[in-house]
Amino acid sequence: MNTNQSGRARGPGGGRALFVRGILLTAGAALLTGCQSNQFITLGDMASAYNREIFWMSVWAIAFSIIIFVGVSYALFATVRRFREENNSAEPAQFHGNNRLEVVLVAVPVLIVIVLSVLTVRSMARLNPTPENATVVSALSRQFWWNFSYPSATAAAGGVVTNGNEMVMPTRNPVAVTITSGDVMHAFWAPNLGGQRNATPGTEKTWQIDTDRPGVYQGNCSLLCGASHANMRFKVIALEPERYNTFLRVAAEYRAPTPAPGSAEERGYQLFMQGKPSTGALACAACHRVQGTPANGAAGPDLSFFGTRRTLGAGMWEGAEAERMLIPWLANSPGVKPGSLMPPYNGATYKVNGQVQKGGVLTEQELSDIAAYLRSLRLPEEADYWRDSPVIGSAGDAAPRGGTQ
Amino acid sequence: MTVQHAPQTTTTSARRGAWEVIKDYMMTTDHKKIGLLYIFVSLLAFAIGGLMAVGIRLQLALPDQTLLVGNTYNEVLTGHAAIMIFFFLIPIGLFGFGNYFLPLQLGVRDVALPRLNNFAVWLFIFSLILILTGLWNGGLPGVGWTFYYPLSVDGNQTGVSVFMVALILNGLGSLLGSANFAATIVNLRAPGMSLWKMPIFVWSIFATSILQLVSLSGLTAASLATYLELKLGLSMFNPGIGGTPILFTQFFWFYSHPAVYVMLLPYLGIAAEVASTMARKPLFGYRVMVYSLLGIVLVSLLVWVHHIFAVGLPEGWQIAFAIATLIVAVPTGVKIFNLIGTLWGGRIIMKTPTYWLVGFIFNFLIGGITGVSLGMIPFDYQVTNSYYIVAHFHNVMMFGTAFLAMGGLYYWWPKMTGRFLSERLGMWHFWLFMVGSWMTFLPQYILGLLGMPRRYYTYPAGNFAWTELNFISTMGALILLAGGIVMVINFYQGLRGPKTASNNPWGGYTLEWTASSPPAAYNFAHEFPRTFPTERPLYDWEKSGQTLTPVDPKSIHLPQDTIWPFMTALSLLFMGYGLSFGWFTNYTPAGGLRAFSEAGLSFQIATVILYLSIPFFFYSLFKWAGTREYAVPVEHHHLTKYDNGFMGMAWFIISEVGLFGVLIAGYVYLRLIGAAEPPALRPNIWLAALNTLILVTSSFVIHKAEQDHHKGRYTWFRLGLLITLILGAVFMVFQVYEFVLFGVESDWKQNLWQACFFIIVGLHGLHILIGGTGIALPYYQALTGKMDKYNHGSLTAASLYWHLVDVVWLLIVAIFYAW
Ligand code: HEM
Ligand SMILES: [Cu+2]
Ligand SMILES: [Cu+2]
Repeated sequence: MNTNQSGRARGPGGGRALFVRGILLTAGAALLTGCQSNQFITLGDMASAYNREIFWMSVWAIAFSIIIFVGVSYALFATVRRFREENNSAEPAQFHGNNRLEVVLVAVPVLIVIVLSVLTVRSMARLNPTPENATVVSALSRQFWWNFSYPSATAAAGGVVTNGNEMVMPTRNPVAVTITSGDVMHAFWAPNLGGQRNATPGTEKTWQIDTDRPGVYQGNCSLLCGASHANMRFKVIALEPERYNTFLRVAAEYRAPTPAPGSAEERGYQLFMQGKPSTGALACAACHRVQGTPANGAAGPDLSFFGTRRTLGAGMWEGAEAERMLIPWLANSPGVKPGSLMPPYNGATYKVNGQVQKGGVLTEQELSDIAAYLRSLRLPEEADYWRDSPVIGSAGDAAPRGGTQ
Repeated sequence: MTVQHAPQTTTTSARRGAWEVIKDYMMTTDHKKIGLLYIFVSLLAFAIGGLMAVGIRLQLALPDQTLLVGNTYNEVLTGHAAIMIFFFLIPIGLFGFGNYFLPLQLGVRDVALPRLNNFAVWLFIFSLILILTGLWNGGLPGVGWTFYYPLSVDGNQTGVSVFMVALILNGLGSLLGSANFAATIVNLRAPGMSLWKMPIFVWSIFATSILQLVSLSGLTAASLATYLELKLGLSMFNPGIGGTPILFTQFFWFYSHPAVYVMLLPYLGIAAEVASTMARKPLFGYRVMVYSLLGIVLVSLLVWVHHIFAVGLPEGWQIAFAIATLIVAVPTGVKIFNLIGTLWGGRIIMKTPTYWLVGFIFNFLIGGITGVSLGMIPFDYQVTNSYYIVAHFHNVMMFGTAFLAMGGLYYWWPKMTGRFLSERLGMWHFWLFMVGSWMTFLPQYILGLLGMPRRYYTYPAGNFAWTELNFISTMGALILLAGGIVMVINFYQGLRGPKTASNNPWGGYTLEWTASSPPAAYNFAHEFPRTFPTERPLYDWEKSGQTLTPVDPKSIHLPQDTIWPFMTALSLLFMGYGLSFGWFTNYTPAGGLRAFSEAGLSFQIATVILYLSIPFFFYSLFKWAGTREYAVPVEHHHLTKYDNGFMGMAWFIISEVGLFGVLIAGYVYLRLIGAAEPPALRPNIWLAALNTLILVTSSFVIHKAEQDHHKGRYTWFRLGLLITLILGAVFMVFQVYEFVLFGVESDWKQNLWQACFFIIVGLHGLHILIGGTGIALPYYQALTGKMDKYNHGSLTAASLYWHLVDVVWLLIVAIFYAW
């Protein structure tokens, strides 16, 4: 079971890291069924200043809770035990209450409430204001995917550096995520890095997350947003600040590679940009952006660095799975991800705005050409954020080398 | 406990046919039968919702299951939650036990408005049926019971309109029931029983009713606005035209937080009754318990934002609401302490009701503690929308108050049926529920801390402990299912055994225990002594040697059965069906107005039903008004100088004020932040001024008419009503003219101010129609000679309502025409 000890869970705060694990391992003795987990998501991750703050805030609350729980349940069971008919033949005393006791029973909770209020307000004062030095990342949520963009990084090829479903952030630096939605409400949640914030259409809200430990963290949409709410996940990859800066710099300079004439990639490129009007197959470029090409669609996730990404379908599949699912995904996205708003390319039907529509048709060869083109969209080696990034809680200390290749 | 009893009347029990029984329940005005209807339907809903829950858990037992995928899962999830909340936990306590026992505990023969009670219970049942009609009209909505905007208007969702209409109908029934309880408590108590001598259960129903009346408007406003956007494109929330979806969450939680307490307070009342009876002691701190009930009502109205901390409202707001949230824990804690204090020093009879009580206290303790943790905002940011929340609310509801719903059933079963439930099966039922709940929900706390979001239909393998914890949780749900089966067997057997229960099997102290088990139609064949030294009259009277005075049952008159309240409710079911799946014209916000023949068949059918339901409604309503409540003239006695109709209406009006209050607050907010700006061409103030004059005049006229009636000047009285009706009609003509003009001038789908105008002023227009119908009823009664000096019919209620409609109009003129 214990395959999830991250070799890299060090950094400041690493000593007490993952305090919940201790509690869990005891509480979960029954769980020792030899399970194999490769990712540890928890709000007890003490590498994040946010989680440290709420931990210390909660310590008092937990202490009070234990006292109250033990005290009241003892009072309850002792009363029942002592005064149940079988144990007590005395005539019940007909008293109507006890005002002195009553006052105490009100005063004590009131005091506790005051203490907890003060703790709450203090923590909020520390956590809520956006720090001035924070790195800004914009998160756009849509049914059922994410775009993360970096307002400070203007791409040489035009636009702002943007990546779909995989967010890169620096360690040891607060990150201000500016969250909004392009359709219904969603919510941004990466427990190891901090709390949630709703993504509301028409409104931008900023929320801080942080971590001291480089690695790969899991994020999820946490507000019901439709059929694939459960498949609206994302990854956050925290890099040391230098690496992060390299990533941003390189990504800003990046232009999608031009495929060699006559190659599969080249054929894929053509289909990507133009689709196949004769069969009604929409151009991918109508909905997706690829930095450095004419593709500038905004109705689907940004694909500029797709070849570097490890996940597919907003985190539905990862690594080898994602690799395997790419063609099925292109052939019939709503078929493999319920409610997906990407049209199928095998002629299947799907539902948009309550209307059943028919997707266009591409041949298997054409689909694999497109896949080849997608895989060629790779950041240069030095900007590959997956390289040597450990998945938090996984046995291996690094994710298999980047890319869906 | 030996109390003298009036001679029991022998019940003639030739087995009646099923149809006879059904007809009886359709026509009944007996609060006991109505209570039983609520209880029966709620238990049915509990079973349906429970099976849905088992489906949900099977899907989540292991990673990547395919039993309920995508929106199908969401539909089941929505159905489960909506049914459990609106059709089980709210109704069984407040309306099931409330209807059955409130009049009995007050020592009276019925509620204040028995026929309205029949109407309310059928509205409740029909709203459930209405939701289920969604099943063959595209499926249930997959938007969660919270139906957040804009997911609720997402084109890929079906069944949202019918959900909205059903919630509004359900809410209407709920409000009428609550107003009825409040009026009963204020107007009808056994002579000598002051408010401070009422049983604690009655207090809890009173408190809950007030809470419903004040807060339900939030839900009505949220569902009404959503409905209007779906049907007409009228939106207060659409960010595309400057609205904000966050306003929706405010509307919604303004009710849905208090709703949590609607699902708590009646059960605290039951808990206190059980504790006192089973420990054979008075309540510990009766007054303090009443004060904390009222305290909870007050504070629970001020905490709704704690459901939407993660939205990111201004910090000051969040902190204020967080503190209020923590404060609610104080009166709630008091209730728990006092329950234990009540048990302390007693001789506790350890029977099934006691087990449910003790189980509740223990579980609720955990639920309460985790609830307090959620008030600490930075922690809440982490766990809101996670399984921690799911665990928390099931902790307070499923294995919290639902335990007391069970406790109440075991406690009052002998009274309701004359038979006992099996103690042995009861123990199985209890322990299976206890163990099952723990296994189902305690792992979910940990899942929340491990980052599992709620409302996920699937999860991947490989997240630390997710698989194991989910698996345990599903096993727990199966244990709960086993408990549910035992429950059904026990209840079934409990309806068939011999009637062995005496009048007071547990030795209880409140008046319901002087009635026979089950009680006769008239409840009591005796009168009570007129002194109530404490809230435990039976104990006190035994001490002081006071006895009950027998009354000849033949001298008791009860309201006569009538089918018309049922028919009126039925017409609203049809109307609701038509409004959900059809519309007056073939209009859609996206497609505009099209020819009726272009619409789909089901739309056409629904539209026809809608049109037919209108005459059906009026016919039934007037028939109802034309049927006398009592077959023989009866003198009504009420404790205040106001008649029951007036009293019921006065309480009901609180909810109307709330409805306009919520919508207007939303509009004023949108206006103040600059989002809702009136278009250049806007409705004319002069026409509004004229209309104001008309309405104010009508208010004076109806007031005068009321006085004429009082003084016996019937011709003048009838004339007054007629003039009021005519003035209302003239008002409506101007209003419709103005609406048409404004609707042509600019597009309400593009202008937020205009949308607010149509929603709020339109709702007022609807109230004019309702108020006008209300006045037409006494007019009709007067014309057909149903009214005289002693019989006011529905006059006082109608005129009070009319005044309300006028006052709201003045406010509307100020904020829509003058501002
Ligand atoms: C057999 C007993 C029950 C089981 C096994 C059960 C199980 C569940 C499950 C698995 C969920 C889904 C959580 C999610 O996916 O987010 C859920 C949601 C819910 N349940 Fe239950 N439940 C039970 C009884 C109740 C009762 C008695 C109530 C209250 C009256 C209740 C109220 C709710 C509510 C309000 C939700 C939230 C639905 C939402 O997220 O929209 N449940 N329940
Ligand atoms: Cu979501
Ligand atoms: Cu709440």
